[in-house]
Amino acid sequence: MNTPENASVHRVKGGAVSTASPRDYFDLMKPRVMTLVVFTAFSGLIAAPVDVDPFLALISIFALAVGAGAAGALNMAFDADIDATMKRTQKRPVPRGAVTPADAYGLGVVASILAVLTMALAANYLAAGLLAFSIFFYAVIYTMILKRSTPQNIVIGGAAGAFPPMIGWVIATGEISLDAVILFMIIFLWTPPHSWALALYKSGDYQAANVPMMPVAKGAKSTRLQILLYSIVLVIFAGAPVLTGLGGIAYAATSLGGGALFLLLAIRIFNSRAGEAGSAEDGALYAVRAGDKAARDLFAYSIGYLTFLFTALIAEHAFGMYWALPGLGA
Amino acid sequence: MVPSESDNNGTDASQDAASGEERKDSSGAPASQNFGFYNREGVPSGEHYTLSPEEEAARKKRNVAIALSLVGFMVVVFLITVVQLSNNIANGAG
Repeated sequence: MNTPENASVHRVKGGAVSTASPRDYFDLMKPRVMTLVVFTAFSGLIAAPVDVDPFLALISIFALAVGAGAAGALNMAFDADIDATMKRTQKRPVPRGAVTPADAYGLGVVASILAVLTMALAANYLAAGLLAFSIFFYAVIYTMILKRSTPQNIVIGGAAGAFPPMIGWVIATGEISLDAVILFMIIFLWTPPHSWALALYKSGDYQAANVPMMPVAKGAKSTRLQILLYSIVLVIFAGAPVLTGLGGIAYAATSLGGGALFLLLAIRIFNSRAGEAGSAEDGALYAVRAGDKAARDLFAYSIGYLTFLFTALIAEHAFGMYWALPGLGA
Repeated sequence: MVPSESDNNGTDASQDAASGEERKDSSGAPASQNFGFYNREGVPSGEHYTLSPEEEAARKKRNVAIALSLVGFMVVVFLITVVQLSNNIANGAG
């Protein structure tokens, strides 16, 4: 037995505690995704036909952002093995070794609870319930089940990312209406072409990580066709707010012009050989092989397209730029 | 190995169970003054960690961030309560 008399002393400098900074923990919460969540939720909140206390609205949106960040932390904790394999995600805090998966889970769970509680206090129980469900859907249904098991992972899992504008609407109104469902559906239909465009030019990454994204599971040609089909449905559906009166002339023009460009880029992908080049990919998000430029362009533009649509809604409802189309709208 | 001040019996790990005298490590320093790790029997394992400056700085930053987050949450809950009460009073709710 080791006794005080015979114990040899090994003085070790460092290595006993983590050197992770608060910034590492913040990075776990996927700040770029949080930005998009805040933006789309804000547009749903603004577009709702109800006045809401500005302070409570601000706190509710903040709670939503923290909830989305918590879901991101849970995702990074569970997907550490995948992230370590993929060049695009190797520098995330967990695969980099800055934060342990256990700490990431801890942050995710605590932040989820605080976010849902705050939403319940500041807004209403329906908004809090939707937030809790969206966190569960992203962290458990998508991350732990769908992502590793089916090429439809981001089609079904995309629902998690579609909740923010609906939650924004519910924060203001306390109920789910047809317009809230339409906002949900726009992002739901937007997710497949957006994600598959990225997967096309990063397919080697997903293959190495054994993630059955569509280009890996069904091939590049099938993916390009599905991108085109989803894009057609998306662009048509994006006109729905005009029919219900949620969107006016500004939204209609944005939807029409933005949708036309979206379709052009989707057709360009369909006619390209994106995803079929054999060389290894570069690490940067926008780094791309020559044959995959069409996929990269649609991926980048898809973010802009969604931003244009929701900016138009905000402009119409927050800055008095709403003019209904003749014979339609409010 | 878990740094601990007491063993499973609740006795002070820095004290000898038989004599009650304070233990000393192999360098002669009182066990209560070192930051070594103890095994399950409450005996020093012989491993002594001292935090590097980077570790100390990182831990301090994390502590400050946690403190600010907790205080921020308390302030938010307080303000929500005040605003909700004010709105309810303004709306004539009981």
